[in-house]
Amino acid sequence: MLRKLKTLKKYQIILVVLLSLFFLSACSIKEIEKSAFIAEIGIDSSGNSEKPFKVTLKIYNPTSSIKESDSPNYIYISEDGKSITDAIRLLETKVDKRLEFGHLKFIILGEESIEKLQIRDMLDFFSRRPDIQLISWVMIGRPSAEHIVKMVPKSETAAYTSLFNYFDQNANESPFIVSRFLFDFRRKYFDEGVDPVLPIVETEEQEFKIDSALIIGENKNTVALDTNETRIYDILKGNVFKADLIVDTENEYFMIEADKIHVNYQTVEDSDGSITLKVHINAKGIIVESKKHLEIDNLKKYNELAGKHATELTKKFIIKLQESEIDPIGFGVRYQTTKLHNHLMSYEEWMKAYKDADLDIKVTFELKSTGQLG
Amino acid sequence: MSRFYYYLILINMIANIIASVPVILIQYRKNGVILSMILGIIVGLIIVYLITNFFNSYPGKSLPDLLKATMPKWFNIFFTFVLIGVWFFAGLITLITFTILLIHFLAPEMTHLMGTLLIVFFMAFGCFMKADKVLYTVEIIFVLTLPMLLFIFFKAYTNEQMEWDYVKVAITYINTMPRFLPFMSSVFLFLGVLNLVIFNQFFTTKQSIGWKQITFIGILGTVVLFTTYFIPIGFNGFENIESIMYPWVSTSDSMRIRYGFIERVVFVFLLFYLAISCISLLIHWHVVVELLKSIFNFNKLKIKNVKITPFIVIIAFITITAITVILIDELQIYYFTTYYYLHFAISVPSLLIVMWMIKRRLKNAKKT
Repeated sequence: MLRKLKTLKKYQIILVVLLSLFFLSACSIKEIEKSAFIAEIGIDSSGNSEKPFKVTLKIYNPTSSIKESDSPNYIYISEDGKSITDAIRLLETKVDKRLEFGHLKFIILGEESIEKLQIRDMLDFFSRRPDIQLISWVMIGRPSAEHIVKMVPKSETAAYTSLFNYFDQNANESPFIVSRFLFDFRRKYFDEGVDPVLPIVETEEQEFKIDSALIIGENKNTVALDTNETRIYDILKGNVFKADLIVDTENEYFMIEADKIHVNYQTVEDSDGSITLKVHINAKGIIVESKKHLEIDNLKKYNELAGKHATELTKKFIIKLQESEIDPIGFGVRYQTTKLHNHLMSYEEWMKAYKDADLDIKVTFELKSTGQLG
Repeated sequence: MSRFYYYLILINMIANIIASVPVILIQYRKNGVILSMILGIIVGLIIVYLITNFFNSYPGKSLPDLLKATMPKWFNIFFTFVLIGVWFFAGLITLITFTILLIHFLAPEMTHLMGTLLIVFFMAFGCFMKADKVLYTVEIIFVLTLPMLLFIFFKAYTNEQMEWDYVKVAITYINTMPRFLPFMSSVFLFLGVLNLVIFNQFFTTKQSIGWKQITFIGILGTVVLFTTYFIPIGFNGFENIESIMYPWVSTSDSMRIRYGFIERVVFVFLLFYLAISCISLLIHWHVVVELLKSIFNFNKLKIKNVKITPFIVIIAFITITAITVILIDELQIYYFTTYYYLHFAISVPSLLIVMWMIKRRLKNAKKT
C-alpha cells in the first residue's frame, strides 16, 4: 500500500511538471494591448525610383470604451520603401506597438500603382505572409490609395470600418459593387484565360462611391468599366442578388427588378475552328416602376421587350471586351474545359479566335407580376 | 466489420488530406495524376482486402504472435525491427509536418522544437495505453472533430468561390501516363489498414469482409482523394497552384463563414487537424511500442520496483524527434516523405509474402 502511494506520488510530480509546460507558451505571446491592429493597407507608387512603394496603414486606435467615443479613432502612418516589407519595417519604427496584420480586411491599390508597380510583387507580399487573410478584399483607390485609406465617411461608427458594409454583401447588396477576395484576384491574375476585375473606390462628399471597376489584362493592359458595364459584369458572374433594367421603347417605359438570374455561358467551336461565344441568361422578376399604365395580360409582350433590350446591352458589353482583347468572364477557362488538354489551341491562337468570335446572346425574362398596380 | 476497423483506415485517409499527399499530387497535375489516382484506389483496395482477410483468419492474434509461432527467431527480430522503423517514421513525419504547419500559422513566435516537444510529451505517454484504450480515444476525438471537418468540406464544395471550371481543366489531363510517386501516395491513403498488425489483438471475434465492406472503403477513399486533389485546384486555379506551399491551408483560408463565430475558417480547420494528427501519431506510435514489447521484455529492467523500460523508450522517442526537428528543413521533410511513400512499394509486398508464408506454415502445422 505504502509503496503504491509512493509511485503514485512520483507520477504526480511528473504530471505537474508536464502540465506546467503549458505555461511556457505565455512567454512567446505578446499581450493584446502591445499590438497595433491594422484595418486597411494602401499601396501607392511614390514616384521615387529608389523607393517605389509607398505604404499607408490605417491602424485602429483602441479606446477604453466604445460608448464614450462617438466617432471612430484611427492612426495613419505612411512610408516609402524599396519593397512593401521594407516600407513596413520602416513603419514599425513609427508606432510603439507590434504591427498585427491578422485583422487586415482591406487592401487598397492606388490607381497609379497598377500601372507603375509590379502587381506580381504586391500579390507575392500579400499571399506569402501567413497572417494576412486570403479573404481580405482587394480594391483600387482613386485618385490614390492613401486618399481612400485616410477617408472616414460620416456614416462610420466606432470600431467598424464602413467599407465592410459595401463588400460584405450583408448590408449593401448593390449590383454595382464588384467584391473581390485576395485569393480570387490572385488565381485570376496568374491563370491564363480569365482576367481579374477590381472595384474602383472613389470619394464623394465625405462618403465612398463604388460603382465602377477596372479589368487588368494579361499584359497589364487595363480596361475601365463604367457603372452600367460593371453591373452587367456582376450579373454575368452571378455576383448579384438583384438587378434592375430600364426598358425604354416608343410606347413603353418601365423598370424591372430581377431577383433570380440564371446565367449560362459557353464557348462552341465550329468545324472550321472559329469560335462562338454563347451567353444565355434567364431572369425572373417583377416590374417595379412604369411611366404608363400596364396591363397584366401583356406580360408576355413586356418579357419580349425586356429580353430584346437586355440582349442588346449584353452584346454591346461583350463586343467591347472582344475589341479590347480582354476576358474577365472566363471564356478562356471555359474553352479549356471543352477538350482534352493536348487538343487545345495555344493561348495566342485562342485570344485571336476570341477576338473574332461570333456571338450568340439571348436574354429571356419571366416576369411574375406588374407589382401592386396593374 | 467492427467500427474501430474503419476508424483505423479513415484516420490515415483524413490525416493525409492536408499533409504531403496533395502537394505531391499537385506537382504531377500535368503528368498523369488522375490515372495514378485511379490505379492507386484499385491497388489500395486490393491491399486492404488481402491484409484484412489475413488477419480475420486469426482473430485476436497480432503479427508478432503469429511470427513467433511460425518463423525462426533471427527473422522475427529482423522483421520486427523493420516494422518498428516503418511505423516510427510514419509518426515522425506526421508530427513534424503538422507542427511546422501549425506553428507557421497559429503561433509564429514559437520555435519548432518547443511546439514539437509539447505534442510529443503527451503522445509518448499515450502510446503506452492498452489497444482498446487507444481505440476509445480515437473514437472520442473522431466524434468531436469529424462533424466540424465534414461541415468545412461541405462548405468548400458548396462555396460560390469554388470554380468548377478549374476542376474540369484538371480532368482534361486524364490522357497522360500515370507516374509512380503520385500512385504510391494515393495507395498510402489506404494503408491505415496496416495498423492491424497490432490492433488485431483487439478484434477477438471473427469479422467478415466482403464486397459491401470493400465498396464502402472504396467510395470513402475516392471521396477523400477527390477532395484532397480537386478542392485546392478549384480555389487556387490550375496553372499557378504549384507555387503554393500548403494547398489545403490556403484553401481553408480562402473560405469564409460569414455568420460563424470565427470568420476565418483556417484557424478552426487547423485546430481540428491538430487533434486528427495527434490521434494518427498515437496509433502509429502505439504500434511501435507494442512491436518493441514483442522483442524486449519490458518487465525485466527495474529500479526500486519501477519499470524503467517505458521511460527509456519515451526518452528515445523525444530525443530522436527533437534532433530531427532541429536538423530538418521544409524541403528535406518533403523529400523524406516522398521516399517514405515510395518505400511501401517494397515493404508492402514483402509483408504480404511473409503473411503468405505464415499462413502456409500454420496450415501445415495443423495437418501434421
